[in-house]
Amino acid sequence: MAVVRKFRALVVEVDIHTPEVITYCLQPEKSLPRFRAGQFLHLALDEFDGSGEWPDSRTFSMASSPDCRDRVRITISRVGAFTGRMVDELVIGSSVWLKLPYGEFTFSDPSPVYVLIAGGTGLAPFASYLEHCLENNIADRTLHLFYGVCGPRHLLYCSLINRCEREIADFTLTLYSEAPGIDGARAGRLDAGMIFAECHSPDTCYYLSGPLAMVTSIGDSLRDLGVAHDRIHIDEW
Amino acid sequence: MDKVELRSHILASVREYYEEAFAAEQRDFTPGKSKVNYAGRVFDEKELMNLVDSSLDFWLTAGRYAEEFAAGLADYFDLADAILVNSGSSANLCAVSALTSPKLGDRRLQPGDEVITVAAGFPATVGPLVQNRLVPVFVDVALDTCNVMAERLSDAVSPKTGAIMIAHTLGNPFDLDTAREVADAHGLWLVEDNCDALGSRYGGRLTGTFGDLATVSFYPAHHITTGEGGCVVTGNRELAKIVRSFRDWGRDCYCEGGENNTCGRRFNQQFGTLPFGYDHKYVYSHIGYNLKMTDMQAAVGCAQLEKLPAFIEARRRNYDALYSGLAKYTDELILFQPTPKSEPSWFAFVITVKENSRFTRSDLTAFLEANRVETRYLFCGNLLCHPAFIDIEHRVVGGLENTDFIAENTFFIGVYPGLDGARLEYILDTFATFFDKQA
Repeated sequence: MAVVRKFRALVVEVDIHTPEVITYCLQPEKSLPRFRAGQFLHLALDEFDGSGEWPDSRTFSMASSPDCRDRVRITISRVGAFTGRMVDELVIGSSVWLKLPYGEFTFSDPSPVYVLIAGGTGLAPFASYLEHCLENNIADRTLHLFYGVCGPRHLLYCSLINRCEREIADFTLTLYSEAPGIDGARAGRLDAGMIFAECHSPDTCYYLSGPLAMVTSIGDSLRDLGVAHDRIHIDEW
Repeated sequence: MDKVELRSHILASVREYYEEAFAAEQRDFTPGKSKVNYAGRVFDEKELMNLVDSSLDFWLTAGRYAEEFAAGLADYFDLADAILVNSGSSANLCAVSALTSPKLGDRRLQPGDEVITVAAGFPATVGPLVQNRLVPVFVDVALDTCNVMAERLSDAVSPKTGAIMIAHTLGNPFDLDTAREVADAHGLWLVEDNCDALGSRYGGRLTGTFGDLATVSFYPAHHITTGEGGCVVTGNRELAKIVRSFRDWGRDCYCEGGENNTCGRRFNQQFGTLPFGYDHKYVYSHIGYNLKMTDMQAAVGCAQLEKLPAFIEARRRNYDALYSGLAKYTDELILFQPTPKSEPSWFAFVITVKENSRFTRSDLTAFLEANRVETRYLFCGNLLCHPAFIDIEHRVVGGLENTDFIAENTFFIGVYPGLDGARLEYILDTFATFFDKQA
């Protein structure tokens, strides 16, 4: 973790994927502190005067590249009262408080092969990492992205993924969709056994991000298949 | 008045108070009567206003000013992390202790491991080594730079060496090329004690950015002050986490005071043999300390940090003025020289009385002190001669002749930004009078 800073930010873009899944682009009042792809922020909706007790907040992975210090993007899924308030209250021009950076789910494993396994909005930390790779022409490892969604409307960051397919030499994408309608997608949920069979080598490490049940189940399966504990990185909150 | 208006009224009064209580004191100088300090706090109404502003928050422990100060320092060094502590000595203690962490695996320093350093300096560099049951290995220093004789660093390495930890003496950077090279060649940690050198550069790059860890002091004699205060800076995030742990009782959790569950995993992890899900806030992975800085100290630091570039410039200007004024005495005095490739942010102006001089160090410092020019010896002189250090386990490589010479013949005077033209002229006049008397 680096030096954590708290600051106000304005909502400058709202991208409604479904009524329950929304991406917000936030413009901080001062330059973002340094963070690493994969880290997360705390977002508070209530007023804060800069001192005293930090108000009620929730954590969200930053989905934009750490190279961009004047904007930060988050994608949320409406799952409870707090995210419900976000969906109901946040419009362009709304003000929120942020504090960041936090988290250890960063892409520092030296392995030459990364298998990125994302479920739903769990794509966010990978979006940050992939954007960072694109912006810095980083192509020092093989990247396999396995991305599972409920259906076509839940497919996020399509243009970024398309860019990765075009511009990163050793990048592969495998989509899983529970509902039909996505060309080339495998039907159903992410399958740890299949991913292992297709990608595993002594050089492979795995990054998992998504709903708790998904990352727990895939993590357990990979361990059962013999993947070493320190080769599996899980974005656990 | 509401609380916002009241606060602003109070701060306006503080501004007035500064003018009345301090402005003249910092300005007025009567040669021969006013003391010419070697160092001192230099401030204006902003430091006082920040201090009072912070006190009105009554947050007391690290808060919004600590956050701003730490972020400002990290930005200044262009490093990922600045961990605020309550003194430069605490910064050294945290830095050394961090290197003993089991989290570093094979690279951790273990009792009996050796750390290369110098004996001509302040005890806070070597003290933490002894406290962590490490063995200091002393290398001599050069008389003109007062810095480690870098060509001897390789000779000091043994199979037990784990780190190099050296201070940039009084603002003068040591040879960082060689130190880094030796550290890299032997897999050693490099710790820069940058307490006296905030703003110094080596090869164009800030000191404090070469080491795996570096420390800064904010004691009033230093480049910027928070009263008591210091920080550890590093670009190594794993080390930063460990330093923070040692600072905060040794706890595993990194939440700041007043915060909880910033990781979202407070109650769902396994640590040691504790019950699963034991509150992470109370899990301890190190035997640590409580060395945190308060928000009121940081509030002063925020105002000081804005002045740092001007302070550095003033220190360089004052060094140049003293150097050109004293250069005519180099038959009998060795004057402080910058290390090649360096641009020091000087802490002080070091003078060594040569062996063949007509006078001793005591003759000269007694004369200066009698004429209200404050002097200091180069801290410990030779640390190994002090009661607390005589019996410590240590090694010496290649002798410490220059260190002993410094203990006998070296002192320093100030270059701090509080010295204006009149004070510098007075210092040089006092030297001239002394030398006239020797004739």
